[in-house]
Amino acid sequence: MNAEVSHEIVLNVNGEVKRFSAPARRLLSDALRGDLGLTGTHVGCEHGVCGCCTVLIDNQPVRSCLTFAIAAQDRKIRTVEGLADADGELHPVQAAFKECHALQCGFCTPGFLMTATALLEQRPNPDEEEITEALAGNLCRCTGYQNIRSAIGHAIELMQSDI
Amino acid sequence: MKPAPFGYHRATSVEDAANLLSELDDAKILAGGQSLIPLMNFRLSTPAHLIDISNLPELNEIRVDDRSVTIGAAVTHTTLLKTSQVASELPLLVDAEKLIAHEVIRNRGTVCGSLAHADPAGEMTAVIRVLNGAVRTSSVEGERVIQAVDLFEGPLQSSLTETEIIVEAIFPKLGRNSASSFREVARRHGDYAVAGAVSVVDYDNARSIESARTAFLSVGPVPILISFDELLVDAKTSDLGHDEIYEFVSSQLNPQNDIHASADYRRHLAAELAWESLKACV
Repeated sequence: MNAEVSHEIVLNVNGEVKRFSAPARRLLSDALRGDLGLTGTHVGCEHGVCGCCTVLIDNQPVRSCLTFAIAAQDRKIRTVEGLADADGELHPVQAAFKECHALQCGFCTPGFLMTATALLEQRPNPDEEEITEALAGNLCRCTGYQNIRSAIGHAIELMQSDI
Repeated sequence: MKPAPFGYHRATSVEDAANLLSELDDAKILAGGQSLIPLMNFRLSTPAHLIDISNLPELNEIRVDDRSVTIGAAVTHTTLLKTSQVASELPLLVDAEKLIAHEVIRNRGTVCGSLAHADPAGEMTAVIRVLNGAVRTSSVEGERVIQAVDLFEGPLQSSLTETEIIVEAIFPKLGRNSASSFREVARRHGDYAVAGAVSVVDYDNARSIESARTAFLSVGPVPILISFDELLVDAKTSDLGHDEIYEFVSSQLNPQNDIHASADYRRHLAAELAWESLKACV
């Protein structure tokens, strides 16, 4: 078999321009983790069901395992590494997850954080149904979801008190 | 769980995409990739080339006119859901969209992609069937229109030729005297439906039923349309009977057993959902 063609891929991740070389079949999830060392994005099912690999593309939550890195050029990608401030202060959603014990093993957490961040950026005061709808695409096998829901409520309070 | 190698081509126009599809051996169109990439991750699909049409502005348009809502091939489910004119002009599209997977998938997945994927469990396949819609395609041979009744040939099998691209999907609007309703049962919210029914009822000016039909998802190799006209023409709305509808539907459906549900359970669900969705149109 012929050697696989490598492409020069340029991604904008958390506001930084990143260049690397990879074949077209490189999934965005694997590019973030393997090529760019951003291992905060987790890879679970690799067919779009579990939600662990959720990142934001142009501020919309998407499955990075169902996106090719080469097709995500010219887009603004945000990962869990971009949530906290440069000085390490947690994003309100992260702080709320910590305070409300919204994680146990933590494997699903980066996906939930990105999904919740997108929800609250688009709808700062979501109702119960909107929260349920937004979180429905992410699986958590530890918490039973109740504390995650509580954390979203607390994040709303934190974000409003920030202003 | 990684895709096999393929060549990536970003189309610069529909014509460019059609040329590439004709020139390249074993090429597939990539729009949102939310059905294709899972298949590629599992290596159930191993195309030699992908032609990316997701960045073509001419395919990212929704047009609404007197007769129909026309959706370009790069329009995502989320874009459709957020287009307020669609909600007022053809609310059935919005009812269906809310049942499609999760928001995260809808942010990338496209309406036309789900039609090209031809999954009989796909909500949009049933919607375009019950509305008697169509897709417009392009290829090096030229353009053509494929009616929904002719588009689906089997599970994940459409009548598109290997060199043909869906450019847009055309969903005819319903008249003032028509009503529609979508009902489905899924094990969890956002999962593929175990069974689903989408109904359209047309009334005359005296509010008698002129025509009624239901398209079913997940109960056959393609979306299945059943007309109730022989039962319902001239019936008063109060004459709609559960048992009559249930028997009529179950006698015409032949779903298969699989790991998600038995054939009998699927048939039962479909018949009940047909009744519920028809009742909701009354």
